[in-house]
Amino acid sequence: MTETEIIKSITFYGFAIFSLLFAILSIISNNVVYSLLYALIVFFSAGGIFFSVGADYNAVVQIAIYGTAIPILFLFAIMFTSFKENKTVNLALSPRFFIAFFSSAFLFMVLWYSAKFAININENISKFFIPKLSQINSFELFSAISKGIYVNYQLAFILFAFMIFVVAVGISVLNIAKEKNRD
Amino acid sequence: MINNIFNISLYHYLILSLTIFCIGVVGVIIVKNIIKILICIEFMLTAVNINFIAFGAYNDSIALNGFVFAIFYTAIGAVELAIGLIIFYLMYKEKKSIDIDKYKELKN
Amino acid sequence: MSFFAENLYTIILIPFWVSLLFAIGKLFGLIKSKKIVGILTLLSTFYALVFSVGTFVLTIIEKNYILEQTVPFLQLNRFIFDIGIYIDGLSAWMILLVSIVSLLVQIYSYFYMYSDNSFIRFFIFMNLFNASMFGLILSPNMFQIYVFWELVGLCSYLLIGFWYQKNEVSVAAKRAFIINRVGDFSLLSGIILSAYVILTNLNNTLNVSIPFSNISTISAQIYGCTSDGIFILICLLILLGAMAKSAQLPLHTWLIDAMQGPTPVSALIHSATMVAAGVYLIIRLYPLFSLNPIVLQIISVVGITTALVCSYSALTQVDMKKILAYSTNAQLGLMFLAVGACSTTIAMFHLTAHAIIKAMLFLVVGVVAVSLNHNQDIRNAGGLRKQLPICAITFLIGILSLSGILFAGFSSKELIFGDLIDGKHYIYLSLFLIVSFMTAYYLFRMYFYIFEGKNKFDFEIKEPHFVLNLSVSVFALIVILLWFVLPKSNNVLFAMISHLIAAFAVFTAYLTYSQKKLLKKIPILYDLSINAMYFDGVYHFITKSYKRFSKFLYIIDKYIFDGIVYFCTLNTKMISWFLSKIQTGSVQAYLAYSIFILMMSFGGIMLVYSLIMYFSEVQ
Repeated sequence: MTETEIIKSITFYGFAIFSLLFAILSIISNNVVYSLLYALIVFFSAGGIFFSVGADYNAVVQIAIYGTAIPILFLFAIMFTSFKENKTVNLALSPRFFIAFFSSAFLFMVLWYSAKFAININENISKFFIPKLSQINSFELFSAISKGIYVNYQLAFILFAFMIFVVAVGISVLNIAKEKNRD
Repeated sequence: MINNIFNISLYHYLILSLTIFCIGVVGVIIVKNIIKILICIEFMLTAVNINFIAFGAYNDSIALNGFVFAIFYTAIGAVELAIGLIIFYLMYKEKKSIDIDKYKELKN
Repeated sequence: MSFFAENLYTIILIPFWVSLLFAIGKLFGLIKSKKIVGILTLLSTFYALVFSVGTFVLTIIEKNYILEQTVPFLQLNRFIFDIGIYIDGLSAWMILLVSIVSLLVQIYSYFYMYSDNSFIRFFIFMNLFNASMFGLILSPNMFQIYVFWELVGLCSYLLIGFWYQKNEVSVAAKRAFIINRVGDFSLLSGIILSAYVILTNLNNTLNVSIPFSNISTISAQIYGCTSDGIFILICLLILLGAMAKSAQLPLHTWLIDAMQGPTPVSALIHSATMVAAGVYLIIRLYPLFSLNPIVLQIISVVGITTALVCSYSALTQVDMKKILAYSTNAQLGLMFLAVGACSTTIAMFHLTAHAIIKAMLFLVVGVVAVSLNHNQDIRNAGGLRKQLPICAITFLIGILSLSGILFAGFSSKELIFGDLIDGKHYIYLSLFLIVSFMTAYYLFRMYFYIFEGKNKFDFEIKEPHFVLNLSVSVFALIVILLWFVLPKSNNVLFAMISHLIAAFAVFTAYLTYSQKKLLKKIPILYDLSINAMYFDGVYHFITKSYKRFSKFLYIIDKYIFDGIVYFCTLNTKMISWFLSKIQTGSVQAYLAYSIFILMMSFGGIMLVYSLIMYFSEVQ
């Protein structure tokens, strides 16, 4: 075990524990603003995890979108709506709580078991699951991503852009229609 | 190799993303505040993103398609969140409440 | 003369066509003139009168004149049913009576009903009644008689409920109709039973519908091939039908209800013609009934009991028309007694005399009630002799006659009396005398109340239309003429006894009518009389207990049989209830279900896959 491996594992576990902990906290917390803050930490930790794998660009995008833009949107939504009701509305203790809990636990177990099972039974799958992490330098990374976005998946990129445009227009139309209905 | 917890492999990332995904699912179902439901959906998207990145890093070190799709997926998440928020806002105008248990027009 | 007899069937058809013409005209609003209605009605009835007079004269000239005109109507294997007419002395006599009474009553009712809104409807029903009554009298066999029997019942119902807007009138009409239904059902059962007996035991297919032309042979055949019990059963079933129509004892209450109809209807249908149909039927079937003396005994007992009970009930009544209705009941009872204990001819005489007298009395009462603003309470009248002299005289003639003092009623009662003495029926005789006493008493009580004493009202009596008086006077004339026509036994004993009893009754009535009622001092007797022996109460009790019983059955049906069905559907209900409870309307719940199902299927796939892998490894 080399030094870099230890550092890598420490960073991974740190970010993993952080993200899990604050995800749970953000669900449990009574205050929406706090839960938004915890969610922010989860998104940042995800960015850290991306960074640890070597996906620097993704980490930056993650932090830029999830770390700043989306929380601001949420903040606006909170300001517009739920400022007074923050503490009254929390978790629901209905049958669906238990259904969700046990279903998720089952999902977790099944997937875990399937991953394990797949690794154990077949050499080929096992190779697929446990490859060596390749060292990627930043130039290669950016050239690969640029190539992916602008060359290999050019059509998909344009499609995504168009989709964002449609969504923006749609949202404004929805809002205006609603306002007209009001009148 | 799996038992060696300090040797970080793809498996660890998968477990991490699975756990975050499950937390997101449970949160979507049990939480009453609509804004928190949207946050939980974002958790689920993040978990999927982690999956993409991990597979991209471990299995596809040349083309890095996983990274590219993670970027697309981030965009999708942002768009989805925008739509979710505007729908929530319109609903809120009707009922003046952020409690999802009050939106029960389809009951029985 | 035989022309009239051979074309007699037209007197059934012409009133029917007139009635149909009025009905269609009223439906399309074509007939508006009341004069046309009156003239057509009177013409048709006058036509009937001319034809019946011709036929009657023919039957007088030719002794034992019999004419049967039939056409086959229905032929089912061995069952043959003819329709047509059958004329003999009896039916000729009866149609003459009916047409005379009908003509006079229709003249009367043209003026009596002139101001009524439903004038045309009244004459539609009257013509229909005429047609069905003639059809009943001229029926050649039992099946046709049953058809017209129902038709006269229907006309009676329609005319009792003529002013159906009042609730009590429609209730009375329904009650009368339902009680008549009992008799009709019984009559139909009797006819069917006798037809069955003939069909199974005899080969004579012509006799299945019991034609009257050879009724004595058929009666003998029925008597020969049945046991006593069956024979008496047949007779009693037919008898019960006649009793219901003629308002005899167990089923007599409908006649009192029938007084809710207009007065001309009471005069024509409920005193003279339709109620006599029962007696007519018994006289027609006398050859059948006379085969077993027990049946004749039953007829006599029913008749005399009815006479006693209804006379007694009439003693304390205060409604003019109700007194006359009870009187009608009693006289019909005497007719039954005459059939059972004397002979059919005497019963026919009494029927004739009573029909004319009672129609006249009803018409007089109608005039009196109109003068008193349709107030029928005898206590409110009084001293009307000066205002309505013709009415007073004709009423006096009528009650003198009906009490057996003078005129037609004296003749017929004398005949019954003489025959009872000859037949040594002393019990019936004594009861008959009691009935005579009570008859005289309540009739004269009524007379004193209405026509003597002082006026008990303070408004001017308006003079009745002279035609009303005229028709009443014609009736009175007929009553006097009948006295000379009817045979007399010249029984001095009866004349003495009858006059003695009547005089005593008149004297008692004169003494007691104005004072406190004699019977009121004995409360039990008074209550019995005023409530007509509680027959109505008994019927109410029966219907009430029937209602309770049906309520009980309803509860059983609802909670036991329906309960079983509901219990069977409970399963489906529970499932649908559960499924509808699942639809909480919450998005999160739906999400939870979908995830649950996804996980279950996913886990199932995994399980199956791992099992397959495991077994493949084992092999």
